[in-house]
Amino acid sequence: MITKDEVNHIASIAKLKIKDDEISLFTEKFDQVMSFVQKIKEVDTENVEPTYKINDEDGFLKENGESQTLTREEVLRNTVDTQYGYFKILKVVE
Amino acid sequence: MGYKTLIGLEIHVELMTKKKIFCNCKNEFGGEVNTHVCPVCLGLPGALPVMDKEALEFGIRAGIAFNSEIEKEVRTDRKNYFYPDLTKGYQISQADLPLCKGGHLDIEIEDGVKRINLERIHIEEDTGKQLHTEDGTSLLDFNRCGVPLIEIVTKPDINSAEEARLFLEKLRSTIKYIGISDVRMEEGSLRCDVNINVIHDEKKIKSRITEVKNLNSFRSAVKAIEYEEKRHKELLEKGENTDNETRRWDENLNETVIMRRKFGASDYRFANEGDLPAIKIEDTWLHEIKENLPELPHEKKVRFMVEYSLGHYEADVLTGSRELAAFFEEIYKHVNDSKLLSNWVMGDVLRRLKEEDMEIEALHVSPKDLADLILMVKDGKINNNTGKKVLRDMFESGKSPEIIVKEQGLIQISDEGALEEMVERILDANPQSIEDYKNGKDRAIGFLMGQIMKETKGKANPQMVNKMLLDKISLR
Ligand SMILES: [Zn+2]
Repeated sequence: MITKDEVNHIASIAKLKIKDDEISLFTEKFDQVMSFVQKIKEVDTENVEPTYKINDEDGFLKENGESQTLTREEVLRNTVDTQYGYFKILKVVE
Repeated sequence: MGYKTLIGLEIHVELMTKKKIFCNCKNEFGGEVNTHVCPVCLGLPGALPVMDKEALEFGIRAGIAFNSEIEKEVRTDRKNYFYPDLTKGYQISQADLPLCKGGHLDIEIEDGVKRINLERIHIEEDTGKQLHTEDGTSLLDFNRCGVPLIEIVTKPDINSAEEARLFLEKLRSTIKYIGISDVRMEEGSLRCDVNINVIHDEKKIKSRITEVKNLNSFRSAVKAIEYEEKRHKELLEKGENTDNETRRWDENLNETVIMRRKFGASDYRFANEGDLPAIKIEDTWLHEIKENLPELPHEKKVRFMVEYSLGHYEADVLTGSRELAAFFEEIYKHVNDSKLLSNWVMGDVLRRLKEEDMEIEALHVSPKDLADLILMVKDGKINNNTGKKVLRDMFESGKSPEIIVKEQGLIQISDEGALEEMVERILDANPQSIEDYKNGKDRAIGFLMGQIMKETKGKANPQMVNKMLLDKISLR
């Protein structure tokens, strides 16, 4: 069972605000996900190599490629507020 | 036994590749704000990362230099956290399979050589830079976002602030040697976090690990460690304990202050980076990187001990940086006397660098000029003290020793007739000193020598004058 504290902790690291009366909704949903994961865990994976790749292709490296660097105007185009060429946001303290 | 301090370091090093790690934006410190930014490093939807070959090569070089085991296949993971300096909401990093496993670096402590073992070295991307303003807003520049980093993690093998300092210095010089970073702490290309706790074996108590961030210099790292060591011990003595938390060093307060509860690995919800398929590191490429690696500090040190018959300590100091070692070797070509040369370099030259807090590269004096100066002293053209004065002048003016000696008329007086006449005159004028000397006061010779040096403005050949003084006093 997922606890209220765990839901609050996950919300805080995801920077989400959850009202107190919403918590039970999430404990329930998390429990469903967890039981699904428990189901997967039933599969016997003894002697099976871990799957790291989601396709069979090997990756490649870039070298001397062309840059797609944007102009500053393009970089800042979609933001609400700017100053001296910077994105300007409300201060977020860690 | 008392308390033992356990310190592990996490060091981030910005790699000086031409391009960023996952896009082709320029990797350059100090560019115009938000001008080295593209859809990939800005995290725009749909943009796909591709790993930079040079960045991976630099990471491998570090692994070789620190004696790590290099992974045959490179995989990356997403480290999820929400903070404005990273627009994607995750950092591409490496979790359970770092590029380099293990490794070590040896430091010279008072009791001899101590091995500091490494846990791992992995590659990842740097974040953007935030400037906090007075009015409660922050300004964001993404030029740094996507600059390649390696993170070097040590095992908790470091037991004091001094060992941490020695380790960081050795690490910095090694990284500079292999040419993968300019490792400038003040520009942020070398950043260090400290993990620290203390244990008491007899009492069977230990404190919880504190992480300290925001260390902007080796000095602040040392001060933060000393501060935390004391704080941990005091809390345990009171029957309390530290919390698992992240603190930062406050340079103005001269203390660490709490930032937040320490994030555990699971808080980052690491997941495979599906946009970057695994990359195989071919043996031939690995071999090629090894072959092209410059001589490493410990290799150079051993060669200096053999080739120049230098002691452990001298060889260690002289190979402290690639530039200093090159400076020494360049002078040696002209001087051919390693003992004499190491005295000059380890004495006057290094003292000067320390006084001025600068690197050898910033020195105005060329190896050839210093070689000429040393030879002038060796050949007796100027005496040793004058030589030191000329060197100080060279540091200031950058002029060659010949010019300084000529301009100031500093050629050593070794003319026997002239010196003899002078010695007789000084002895005539100072009968008391002669008597003092005969009564066993050796210092009287120093006084007489001083008189002659005064008259010759320090240019008299001291060995000749000394012998003449003794000879002539014995005749009186
Ligand atoms: Zn980019």
